[in-house]
Order: sequence, then C-alpha cells, then structure tokens
Amino acid sequence: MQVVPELHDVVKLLDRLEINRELDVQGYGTVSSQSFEGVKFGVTLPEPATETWRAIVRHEGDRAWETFVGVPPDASPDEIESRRLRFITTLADRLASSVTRPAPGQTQAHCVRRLWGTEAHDLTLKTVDSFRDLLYFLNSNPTWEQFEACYHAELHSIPEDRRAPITSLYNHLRLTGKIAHVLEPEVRVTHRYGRWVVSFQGSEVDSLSEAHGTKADNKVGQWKFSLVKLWATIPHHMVRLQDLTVLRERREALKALARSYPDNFLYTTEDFALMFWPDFDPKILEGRGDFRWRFRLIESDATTMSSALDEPERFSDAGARLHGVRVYEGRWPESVPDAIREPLCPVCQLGPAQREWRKGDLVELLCEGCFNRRQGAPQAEQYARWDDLGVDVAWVKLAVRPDAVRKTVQQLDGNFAALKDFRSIPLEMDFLDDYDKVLEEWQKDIACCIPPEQILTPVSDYPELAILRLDQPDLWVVAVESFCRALKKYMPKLVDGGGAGCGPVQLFVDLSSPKYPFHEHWRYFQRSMSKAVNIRDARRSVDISLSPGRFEQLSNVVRSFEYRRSLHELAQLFEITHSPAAVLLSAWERRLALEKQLRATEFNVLDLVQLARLLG
Amino acid sequence: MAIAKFEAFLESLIIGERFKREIYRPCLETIPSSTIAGFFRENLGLMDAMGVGIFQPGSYERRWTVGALTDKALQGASLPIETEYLAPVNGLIKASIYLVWNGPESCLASVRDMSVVMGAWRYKGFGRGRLSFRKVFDPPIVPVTMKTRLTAKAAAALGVRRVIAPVFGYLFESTGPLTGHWTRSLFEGSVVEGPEFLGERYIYDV
Repeated sequence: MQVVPELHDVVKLLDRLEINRELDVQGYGTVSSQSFEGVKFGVTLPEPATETWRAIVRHEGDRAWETFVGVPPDASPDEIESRRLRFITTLADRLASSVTRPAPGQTQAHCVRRLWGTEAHDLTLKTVDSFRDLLYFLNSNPTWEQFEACYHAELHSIPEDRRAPITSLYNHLRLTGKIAHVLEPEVRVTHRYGRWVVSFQGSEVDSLSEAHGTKADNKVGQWKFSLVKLWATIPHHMVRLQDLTVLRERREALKALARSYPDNFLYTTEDFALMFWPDFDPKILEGRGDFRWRFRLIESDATTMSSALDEPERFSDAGARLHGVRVYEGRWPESVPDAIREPLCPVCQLGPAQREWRKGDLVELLCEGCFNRRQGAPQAEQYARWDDLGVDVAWVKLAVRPDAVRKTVQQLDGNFAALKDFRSIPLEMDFLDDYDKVLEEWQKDIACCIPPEQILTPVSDYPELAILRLDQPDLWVVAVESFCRALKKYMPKLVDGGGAGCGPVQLFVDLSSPKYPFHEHWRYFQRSMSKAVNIRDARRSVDISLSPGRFEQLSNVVRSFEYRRSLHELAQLFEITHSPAAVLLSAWERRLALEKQLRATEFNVLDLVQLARLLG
Repeated sequence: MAIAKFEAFLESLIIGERFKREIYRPCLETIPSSTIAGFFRENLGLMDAMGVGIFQPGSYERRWTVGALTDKALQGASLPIETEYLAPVNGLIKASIYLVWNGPESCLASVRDMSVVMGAWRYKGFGRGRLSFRKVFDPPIVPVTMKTRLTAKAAAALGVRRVIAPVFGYLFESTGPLTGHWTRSLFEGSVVEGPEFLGERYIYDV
C-alpha cells in the first residue's frame, strides 16, 4: 500500500469558485474547501483508483479516521495500514503548515505574494477539463517527482494557504512529504488490551488530537518532535588560495549528508542545515570532513514546533516552557587524540603535520588532509600573473544567512511572521529558492558584462566567490549593479533596506592589490554586517555598508557632472582629515550645491565621500 | 576554589599559535591557559600557574604586519612571516586575567600597576603592558559557552565540573625550555559547567 503524502493538498491547485460553477451546472456536485467529498465521481470524472487518491478525497473531509477509537478489533490489516498512513500524512501536514491560524482580515488570494516583494501569476486550474486531466493523472499513481515535473509552475505560484498567501504550495508539500517519510517507519499501530493504539517513540495515543495537541484548548500534544539545526564551521586558517577548496568540501559534505538522509534534511545552505529528526544521532557526522560541527536540537510538541524556538526571547518564554520545549546543544567531533607530539598542522590545527608541501625554497609541513587538499586544488597561476601585471583586484562574495530570514520578513510584514504560532520553515525554503535565483542571475550578469579573462573563480563549483581583475578601476561596480538588479527582480523589498538590521543576503566587495593577504579578504567576508552591499578598500581606509537602493542613489550622485568637482574636493579633504564632521562643515562653508543635496536626501556624507573616493 | 582576578592594560600584542617554518601566523582574540602559564612564570615567577584571560571586546582591533625572524640555530634570517596582532583601539587593550590562587590574598596585593610582557615578538616592542591585582573571589559555577581556550589540566584546576559540548583543539604545553607537545584542549564555543567568567551564560538545557 502506498500513499504519496506530498499530494495530500492537490485540491489547492483548483480555483474552486470557477470549477464549482461549471461542475454545478453539469450536476457533478462541488469541491469543498479542502476535500473532493462533494464531487460526484464516476460519470465523466474518474473514480479514485489509487490509495493516494482515496486519501486525498478523504483528506480533512472525514475526521472519523483521525481516531482509532471504535475501530473494530478484527479490522483488516489493509484498513489499519490505510488509516495509519492517513494519520501520518495529516500529522505531517499540520507540522508542515506555516500558519495554523491566519491573521485576521486577510482576503483569499490565488497566487503567492512573497514578503520580499514578488507576486506570482494566478495559475490555478479553472476548468473542469483541467480538473479531469488532474484526476486522470492522479489515477496513474504518479510519484511526487512526476507530479512536481508536471505541475511545477502551478505548485510554485499557488499559495499554501490562501488566507495567508505568503508561502508556496510547493514547499508546503515538499515539507509534508519529508516529515511524513521520516515518521512513517516510526509510527506503529497495535491492538492491545482491547483497543488500537498508535505509538511513536514509546508514547501511545489513540487519536490525532492526542498526538498533536490542540491549540484551541491549549492542550499539549503527547508526541515530541525534534528539529535539528546543524552548522559546519571551518577551523582552518587558510594560508594559500588552494586552501579555499575547503569551502567547496564543506558544501559537498552537507549535500552528501542531505543525499544520504533526503527526508530528514529540510534544507541546506553552504554552512547550515535544518533537519527534522526525531532521534538524531551525531554519529552520522563521522567521517564527513575535518569540520567543526555544531548542532542544536529543538524538542517540542506539534502545536508549538517552530524553527524559532531557540531564539533566546522565545526559549525563555514561560509559554514555551509550559509546552515542554527543550533545546540542547552538541558538538562533533566528540573527541580527538589526547596529544600530538609532532608539529601541528598550521592550516586545520587538528592533525600532526607530517607531509612536506614545497613551493620553490619554501617548505610547509601539513597534515595529510590539508596536504591532499592543496595538492588537488588547481594552482593559482592565473592570480599570480595578475600580480605581475600590477593591476588591482576585487574579491567579490555573495552570502546568505538563513537565520536572518525570519527576522527580516518580520520587519517586512509583521502580520504573519509576528504570529506566535507562525512556523517559518516553508518561508525559509521559499527564500532560499529565490536566493538561488539571485545567485544565478548575478553570475550570468557578471559573465555577460565582464570579459572572462578578467574573472577568476578561485574555487570551482563555488559561484558565490569571484575575483575580478580591475583593468578599469571601477569594474567592480558591475558586480554591485548586477547584484542590485538581481535583488530588484527577485527580492525587491530588500532593495531599499527592507529588513535592515538583519541582511539575509549580502554582497561583499574587497578591493586590493593581488599581494594583499587573501585571508584578510576572507575575514572581511565573515564579518556580521547589517546591510546588503558592503565595500571595502583597506588601502584607502574605505569601508562602507549600504542598502542596494542607497548604493544606486549615491553612485548616481557621485557620477553626476554637477557634483563631481565638489565631491573630489571633499574626498581630498577626507583623505587628509579622516573626519566626516570636517567634510560636512566644509561643504556647508563653501555653500556647495552638494550640501543641500546631502541634507535633502539624508545621505550619509561619509558614505557619499567614501564612494566618491572608490569611484575616482 | 579561589580565583584571583587581575586587570591588564596592554599595548599591541601577538598571541599566535606557535607555527614554525610558516609564512602566516594568525593571532588569537583570547588568552588561552597555555599563554597565562607562561605569562605568570615569566612575570611573577609562578611555575605552575593555572589561569585564563579574556580581552574586553571593543578595546582592540586586528591588524597585521610582516617581519623576518632570526633563526639563532642557523645564524640567519628566515623567510618573512606575516603575523596578525591586536592593536588598541582607544588607549590600551583591556583584559581580565583569572588565576587559580590558593595562597594568601596579601601576597598579591603588591601587584599594582606592574610592568609585564605577554605574547610574541617582544623584542620588536609587542606585548608590553601593566598588570593590577583586583580581588580574590569564589566564582559561581554555571553552564557557560566558553570564550577562551583551556588545556585539560587548566580546566580541572579552574573548576570546570562537566564538559557538556566540547569544541576540541590543541594548545602547546611546554615540558622544558626547548620541549613540549600539543595537548588536547577546550576551545571557544565549548559548553561547560564551570566558572561564570569563562564566557557567556548558556541558556539551553543540559
């Protein structure tokens, strides 16, 4: 018997109003808000023929099967298994819902309105013919992958909940499927002492409400579930360009873990993963690279479960404690050898340095892992040639911080995200999907605007990091402008500093000569910044952090002919005094037109002058 | 267990991991127990000092410099090394230093504004500062996320009762003037049940 839990919400693909109008005219009944129970199948609409399809028809429609009370002791194994799978699917559906109680006053919407500014097209199925096609397709018993391939666009544009249309149906279904697959082998139904009981990790219940808990009467669910946040940190002191390969290895290690446990891993980034794992064992991290793993286990009942429960203000909340929320931290590796007699590897600092790595007269002692990494990486000859040419370079890095997503959207639209029972996981998944689009667009745009010989990707398959050869001193602006364009397209509300103070997507540009120690670039990329565009030129003591919108405004002012001379003077003054006050006073004293502009637009004079220095 | 608290005011300073034959030496932003042992041995003649130090955030910034060290054994200069150092932001770098102290408090009272040196490249002027004794106290033992580095011996001496979630690394432990080995140690981010001053209070369940 097979139920595809991802397909439980296909009714949401339909524009019920339109379809019911047509169905009613033809006398086929109507589709209710969450089920097909009112539909008269069999005449022109195909009867449910698969277990998934039967489960969908009864999804939320028939609550009788949510309890095992009253099920006869001699019920057939098929009937019990069918009930068990529906029980699991519904539980997973509730765990995967981002909003259990929509904000009041919200209207119904057919398309996703992302909090970061984009709105999808209405792709709901509006005709009985398209409905019939869907039914025939479901009766062919498709897998989730086949269904996703067929209804890809619709799933991404239709919201998970029309009253709170902020998350896509796609990620809700994906999340439900993952949770259901994890629970499936763990949830058992047995007949004992004259009744049917459903057990999960030693806790026995006989109904869904007992397992899940109920919000209305503040009843805590008996079953406890665990979300695991996993961070992979790099202990390495990267000395040479080749050592950066460890970044790709870290991403690959997380991806490999996600491949090994596809249902447990809800999403991954280059250094972070969120997992649903009832019985997490850190031993899975054994042999997954020489990283320092840190994990945080958030244990709660189903009604309370959220990825934000570990936020200090939430965790210390009496309500969370009342619901039995517990948070534990752990680290991996749990142990390392007691002592090392040989020299310690200077790069990872975790192993004996026994291998000699030579470059000319220079010999470095490395551990086996770091030696192999350096040997296997392509040599940085191209970068060395740039050094010989005597040109400057710009190190450019794009980064995303999933932990900041929730805080950002809270600032963008507090109505939903501020709800206490809001679960931001599908939102985080949607955000990361859009971040991938920003990254792809940014990369393509740069490749179009900058000749390939002027771009170096120091780590292959790691598109977030690039080095630009600055044959023209302001070539780096292309990278920033491309980023602004991509952000405007996929996350327009972040352009003008929406979500300021959190900055979930950040671009770093570090200008230097090729001789500048590259670990300094790396340290700069790891800084915690609040704005999306961050530019530094250590040689000129320029260090600015702006929203993309403000960057565009400022660069327009800097480039305008009217202000060029004034700015040049102010930049020179700043070069000497390093005092923003002196610059502002000077502008005022000379009655420069710029001063009015500065006041009128509330520009930060320091940012403006610094940008003027960078743009020459 | 009694802990003596000192305050140090330091000029530019290098606490680097001891990498030989390298071209780059990163600088720590904490004072590990191995450095404290050497610090008290050299400045106060305490041979078995166990302690740890924590810099006051905001009182320093990272910078880097390049220099060539003299290799006395080979009587020549080695290749230039690039090293990071901590430079004071406003005046001097401030640090709190904690030392396990079983003697009378009066012995420490004379440590007032005493000239001390700490860390590497002292002959180039790094690591000079002043040290003042503040008090002897009995710190509360609580779960903390560590902000410093401790060898196993120092952890036991400082009253770390339980290691909840360790982050391991290695610190150099001298066994003689020219000998020593790398010993397993607790690094920043470790969660332990120990003296409060080791880091930030850990709020989660243990």
